[in-house]
Amino acid sequence: MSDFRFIINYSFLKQVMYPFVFSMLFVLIIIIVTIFLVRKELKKGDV
Amino acid sequence: MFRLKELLFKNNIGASYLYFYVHFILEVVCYFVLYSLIGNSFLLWIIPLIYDAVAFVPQSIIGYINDKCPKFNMGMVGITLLMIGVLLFFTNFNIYLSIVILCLGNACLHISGAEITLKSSNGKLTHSAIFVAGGSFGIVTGRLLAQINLPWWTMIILVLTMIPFILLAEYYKKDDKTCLNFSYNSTSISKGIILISAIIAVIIRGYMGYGIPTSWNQTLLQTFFLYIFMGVGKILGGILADLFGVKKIAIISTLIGLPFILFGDNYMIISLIGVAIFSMTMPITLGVIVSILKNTPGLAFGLTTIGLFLGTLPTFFFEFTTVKSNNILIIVFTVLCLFIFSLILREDKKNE
Repeated sequence: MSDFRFIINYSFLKQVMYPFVFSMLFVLIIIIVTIFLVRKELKKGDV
Repeated sequence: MFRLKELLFKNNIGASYLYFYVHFILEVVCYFVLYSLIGNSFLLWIIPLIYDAVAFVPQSIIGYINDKCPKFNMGMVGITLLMIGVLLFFTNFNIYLSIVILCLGNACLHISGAEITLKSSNGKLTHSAIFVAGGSFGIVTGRLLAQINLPWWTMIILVLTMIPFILLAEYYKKDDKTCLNFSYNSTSISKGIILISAIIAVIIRGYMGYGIPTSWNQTLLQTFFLYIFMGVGKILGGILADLFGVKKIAIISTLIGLPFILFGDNYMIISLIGVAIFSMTMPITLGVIVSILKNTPGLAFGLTTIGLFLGTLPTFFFEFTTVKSNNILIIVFTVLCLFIFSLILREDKKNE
């Protein structure tokens, strides 16, 4: 018996492909912008 | 005892109690909506994923906007969005749109609470711990209310009750201080490494929140206790870290919590103690991230919620089927957390 199992498979994912892809793209964009903002703040340093 | 009294009743703590209620009601409303969801298995899988993505992840950017425009009342924006989201959801408007609006309202209210409690805390962790703990109690209450088929319009009334609390909490915002008193980070390590390490600790905590073996948890009442202990652990973490020092509490709670989590699979009380001890590190990781980003506490809070999202993301895709493999992962993660805490936290001061 395998130690872990996938809850979903590709055919399941296909049913919700658009909302899934959009939400993951949304997450990716926000994380990239956040990294940019954090770098900017770190460069500025303390007040 | 005197210091405990001072922590719980002085130092602008009022904002935390006000936002404890706001956070509680916020999660009641959101989880009432989530648990009222009916539909096929695809919908029941994707909606919680969208909820986590849109409620957790944009808090960094919303927080940054609030950091730069501190006069802006993000709490009232959150209330408005939340109300629109609830109305659209229960009038069977587009389900995705209603969830997204609801989540954005959730994110705005989180940021509003985080900004006020962090800025008014004078560098203490109890304040934000009390605010954050309200959510744990709200999640389970929302689930309970959804299962007893409470009419949906009661949620609108609950949302409206938040308004006076948010307006009262604004009183604590007037000083508009930054978080310069937060200094929980080790000064010998670069700030970038501390940030990344703290976020990894949050990701681990986010994953373990779902990965803790709880075979005992079969009834709604048991789930209720699970979330109550989670909330109590968060508050205790903040109070004990303020009283005895962040490093001591972070390392001791991570170490002591492990056996309770591992051996509590079939024993509710043991497991609940483990969950409470395990939750104690929550305010500490937030405190260390704020220590690095003192001028942008909203952005700092948003980083912890991104970490939580990344930690819960794998649980949507796979699960461990054997207790042994799950326990091995928990031990590895605990050791990693211990290493991170000993690396990034400053030594406790003598008077703590």
